[in-house]
Amino acid sequence: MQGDGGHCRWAVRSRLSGIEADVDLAGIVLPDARNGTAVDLGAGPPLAILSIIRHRY
Amino acid sequence: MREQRNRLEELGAVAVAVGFSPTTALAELAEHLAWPWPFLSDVDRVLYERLGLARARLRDVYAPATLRIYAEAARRGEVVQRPVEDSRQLGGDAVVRSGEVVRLWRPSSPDDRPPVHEMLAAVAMAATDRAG
Repeated sequence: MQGDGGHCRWAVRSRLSGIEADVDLAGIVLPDARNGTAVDLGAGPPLAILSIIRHRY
Repeated sequence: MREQRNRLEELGAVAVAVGFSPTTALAELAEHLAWPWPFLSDVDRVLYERLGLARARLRDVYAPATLRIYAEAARRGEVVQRPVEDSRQLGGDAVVRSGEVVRLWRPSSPDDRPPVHEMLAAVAMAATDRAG
């Protein structure tokens, strides 16, 4: 188990690079870069891929 | 890309991009990529921390193969820009269902990202679980 105050619970590590996980995104609200709209990741979208990038250059 | 986008939408899913740059910079990148879904700015790296996305070792970021690419670009006369942000911060990918990450890819090096078909399969599984 790893995490930050109980938010994260890692489960079975697969033989591939992906792992099954159980991470609650409650409380993470981020602005859309193009229009400033706040997106609450804990409240939706119902099904999504998060593609989290490195630096821009 | 179009085929993968269609498959994602058939599953009722979207792909949300997240970066740690300021909104203005990410907006330019989103436009450049013609990203059709939200492109979020996480300057405090809250999501990165929540998902345990690590910072790479310097020797992984500036590996010999990478330095060779930069050197060749410089020899061709191309301007090699200094990084303006934390070049050691790693990204990652995740499948989210109703506010909960159910599958997560945490790379150990900058060039280690999952194949798209693997992520689409994970989305399909999450969609099935949701329906069940």
